[in-house]
Amino acid sequence: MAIITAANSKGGSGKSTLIIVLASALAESGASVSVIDADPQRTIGKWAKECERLKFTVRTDVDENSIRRVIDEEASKAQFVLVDIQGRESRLMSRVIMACDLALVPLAPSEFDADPGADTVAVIAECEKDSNRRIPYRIVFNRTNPAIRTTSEKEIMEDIREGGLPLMTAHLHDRQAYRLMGRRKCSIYDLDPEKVSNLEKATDNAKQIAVEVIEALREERERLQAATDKAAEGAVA
Amino acid sequence: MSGFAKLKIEPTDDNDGGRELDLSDFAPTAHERRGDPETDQAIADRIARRRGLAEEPVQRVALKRGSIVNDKIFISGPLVVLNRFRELCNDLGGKTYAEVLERLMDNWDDQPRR
Repeated sequence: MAIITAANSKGGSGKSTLIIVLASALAESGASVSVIDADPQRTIGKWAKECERLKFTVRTDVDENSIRRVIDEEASKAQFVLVDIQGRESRLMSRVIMACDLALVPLAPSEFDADPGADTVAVIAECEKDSNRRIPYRIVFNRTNPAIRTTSEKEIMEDIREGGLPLMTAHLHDRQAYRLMGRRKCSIYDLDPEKVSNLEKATDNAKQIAVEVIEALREERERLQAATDKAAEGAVA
Repeated sequence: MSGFAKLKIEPTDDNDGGRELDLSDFAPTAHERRGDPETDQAIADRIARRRGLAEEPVQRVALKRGSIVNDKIFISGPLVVLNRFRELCNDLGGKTYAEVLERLMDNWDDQPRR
């Protein structure tokens, strides 16, 4: 079981797209996936309502008071629980961050996204400090051009690397397929390859994201296990 | 080696179709690594207060109306006030902002002045 959220206090940073793409890729690989749409805009909930076939479930009956209970309910049923939250710092955001196994911080390669992204990382850092436990997160570039790396992108990437912050290698690229899944009310796997350019590249990109997220979850799980073992050894000694 | 060379990461382009996802080590469970829900919530709320985060999700109330406004006015103010105004428009049967403003001003005009 893994609980994943996409958090960035900036609206339009690509949280919902990332959640849908990741949920679709995991479900396509045969995993049971539950998406909790805790964004009052209900972007994913509305989209899912019109989707003819989805390989994952979507819950929208949630607010900040019930979020933890709903997460726990879904975690007992699905291998992966993905939580979409609104693009604004709120108490709901900190509550979800405290409940998740991995927070993804999507970031468009622009200065306008970088600062809110940094604020979100600061909230995660405070959660870690106050709870005295690791809150794993990864920054993931979103809507990047696979062929060109812009100056802004390079500079933001440099800042992130200099700060030693965890940055995913895979980017969620700017692909027509990601835009069309919203309009056509289906996942990228249900789009017609005859009508969507580079659809295969989009599905490969989605899988790349999923692979790296899974690797991050395993890495964090091993790190936690090692810390637990060390604590146990210390207790015995 | 320049600093930029260090930034050179593996191509992130989409050539990973051959890798299969083995997800068998992720099984549904109620609790795993997370902490006590009440403690977690107390910490989350303390951080939210400290950072001045909104105490509840901010939701813009959708206005149920379809009439046309001939001129425009931009009003900036606390969301709670603007939502109250939108709710009033809805409660009055989907009146336009202008209609409700007019009604409010009429009421104001009708009030006795000191």
